[in-house]
Amino acid sequence: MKTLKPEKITKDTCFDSFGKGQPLYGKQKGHLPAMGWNSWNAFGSSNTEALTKAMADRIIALGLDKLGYRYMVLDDGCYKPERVDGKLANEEEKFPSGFRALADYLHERGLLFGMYNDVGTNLCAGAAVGTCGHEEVDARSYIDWDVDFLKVDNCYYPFDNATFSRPGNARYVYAPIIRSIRIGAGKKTSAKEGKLTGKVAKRGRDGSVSGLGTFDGTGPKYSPLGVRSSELIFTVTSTKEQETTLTVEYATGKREGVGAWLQAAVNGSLVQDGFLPETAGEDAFANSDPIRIFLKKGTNVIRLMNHRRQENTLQSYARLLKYLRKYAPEKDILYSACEWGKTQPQNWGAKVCDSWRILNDITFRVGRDGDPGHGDWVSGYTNAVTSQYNKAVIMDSFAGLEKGWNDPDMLMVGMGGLNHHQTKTHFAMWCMMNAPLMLGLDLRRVERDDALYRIIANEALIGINQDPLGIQAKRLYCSLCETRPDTAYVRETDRVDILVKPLKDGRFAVSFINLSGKKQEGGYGISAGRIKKVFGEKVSLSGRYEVLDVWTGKTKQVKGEDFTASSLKPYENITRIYTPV
Amino acid sequence: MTLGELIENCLYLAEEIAGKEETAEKEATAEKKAAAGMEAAAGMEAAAGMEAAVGKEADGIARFRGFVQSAFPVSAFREPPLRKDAARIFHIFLLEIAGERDREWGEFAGLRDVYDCRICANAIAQVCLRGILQPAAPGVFAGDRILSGAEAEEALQRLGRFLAAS
Repeated sequence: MKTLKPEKITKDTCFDSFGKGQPLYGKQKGHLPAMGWNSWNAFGSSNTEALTKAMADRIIALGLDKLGYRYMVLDDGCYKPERVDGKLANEEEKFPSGFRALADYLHERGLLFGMYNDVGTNLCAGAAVGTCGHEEVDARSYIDWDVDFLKVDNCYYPFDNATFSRPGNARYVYAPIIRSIRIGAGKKTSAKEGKLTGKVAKRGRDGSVSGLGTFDGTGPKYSPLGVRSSELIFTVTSTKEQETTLTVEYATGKREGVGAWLQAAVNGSLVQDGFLPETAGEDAFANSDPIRIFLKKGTNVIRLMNHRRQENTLQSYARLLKYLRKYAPEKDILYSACEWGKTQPQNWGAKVCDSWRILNDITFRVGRDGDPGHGDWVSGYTNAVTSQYNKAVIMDSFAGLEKGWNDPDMLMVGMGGLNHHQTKTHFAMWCMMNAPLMLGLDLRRVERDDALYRIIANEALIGINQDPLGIQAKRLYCSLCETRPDTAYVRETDRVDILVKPLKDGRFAVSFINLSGKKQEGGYGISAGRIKKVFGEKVSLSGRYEVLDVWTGKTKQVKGEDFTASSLKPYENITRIYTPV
Repeated sequence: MTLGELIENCLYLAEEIAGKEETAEKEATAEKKAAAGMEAAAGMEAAAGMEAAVGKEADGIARFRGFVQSAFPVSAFREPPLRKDAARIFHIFLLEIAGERDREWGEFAGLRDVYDCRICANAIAQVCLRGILQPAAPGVFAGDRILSGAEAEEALQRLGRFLAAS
């Protein structure tokens, strides 16, 4: 068995290239958020070919395909647990006709076919068929199966301490503890004299620095905004241009915060990118071998860091993309990264993907045939509508047609645990935030014009989500944080938010959202001036509008410069589209 | 006990329960009908009821087998299971064979490591709720720890008792 190791990073996949965001391998951009059905929330690992066909038939019978729900995605649990002759194979009990036959079935009906895999060695549910090291052969399989959409997970990832990975894999993604550096035969410079960036790193009592890496964003604890990783930066003055050495005094570990992989850059050029020899412990410091460096005359910047959490994951996603593009350059396969926000994919996802999950799963109680599963409105972890919303709502700056979409996970509309207002608000939130709209319910439970149908088939809300401008709504008001509502990470749910989303032709949508279980009275509003200040020419503020209430379907003409809702029932949202007249 | 042996023990338990249920159902139906003086009909209806029950049971066992076979790589069957893997096996047994439905997580939503395994989180809560597996320490399930032979035996006994009681 070959040993897996992280690839060498390139100028297009290194941390310093993230801000540029150019797609790799000619990845097509310009897609609106994906719409369709995914098997996971509905049936978990127990989805079958028969169930998938039944869902496809219901999509058509309900006319949901005409509204845009076209991607039918098989999630985890569809493959044999081992490769067959090195290739992925269908689990024959569940998918007896094979994947190509299922793709044909869907394509014949005007639908699109989506599949699932993982950048690690195994899929999350356990099958040992992850793409890691098999990207080329897997890409060919997906093309043979005429796949239109790929969701790719991050379990059993060998180069990070991801879910089901060894915890000690943290050694790949954090630098060792750094105590000092030395240039040539000069004196040691203590880490105390270095400057720290970001909030991950910590200084010990002796001035040594740990936490040189990237925040794990899987859980809801940290904001996705700001610098999500740390570096230790030294400024070195040289009296002449010279070739010399850099020696680092370090101690390695294998846990979140302390690893063994060091990256060092001098004046922007990477001079070290790999493991340092393990030390006897985190308090047993050693000197690295001298690293050859070049200093220019004057001021030089030496960065000690480890951005491999982001770079490794980006490269793994990129490797599959590379072969998909190589073997089917004409095919536009939507690519959905499901690494749960662990590596802050909002920073790099635009290079390879069409969307990126922002947190761990929205529910851990998925359904099965005969059981709708369960979703929550509030949770201390990621498994609730509001947990996902609270993070996604401040991530609008990362989203766009030329970038991709923040993905707060699949819809829980129709699952147990959410009341009618919560379900409506959940759907409205996802539409306003340009989230992918992947249904996750057994569609045999939906009938035309029943309560669930009127939510998932709400054309005005779908129109907001699929508006060709592709602008994620911005939160312009939050009752708990009035100073910076667009960037404040607020997890308390006893509040009202107001989101505004520019739409085509100067129109705009405003959503008043009561996240709490209390009736909110007293009036909530946003002024035209504030909207103008934030969105400028993207919205037309005429003072007279035709207003559509997306839930009642009623329109009326209004005059004025304020956009208000007088009261909101528990968990209610009022969402309106304003068309200037 | 290896993961494969744990599964086989679960199946043995399923067959044992199915056998007991079959006998009980047959006896109950026969007694009822005999009391009504319809011995012949009783025999036929008992047989039909038994076939349906056996068919349903067999479907559940087939789904259980299908799940465990597709969930774990072949090599895993020869190794002792991790506690989280055992939770998944017991959970699918409860759903497919015992006809249980998921319940609210209750106090087990507070296990500090319950979300460490996104695929097993619900399974861990469900088996803890029914007392089949228990937290390794207060507030900690320890899903990445190997399920010892003694723990496996104990869990199977608890599963058996739970099924008998329900």
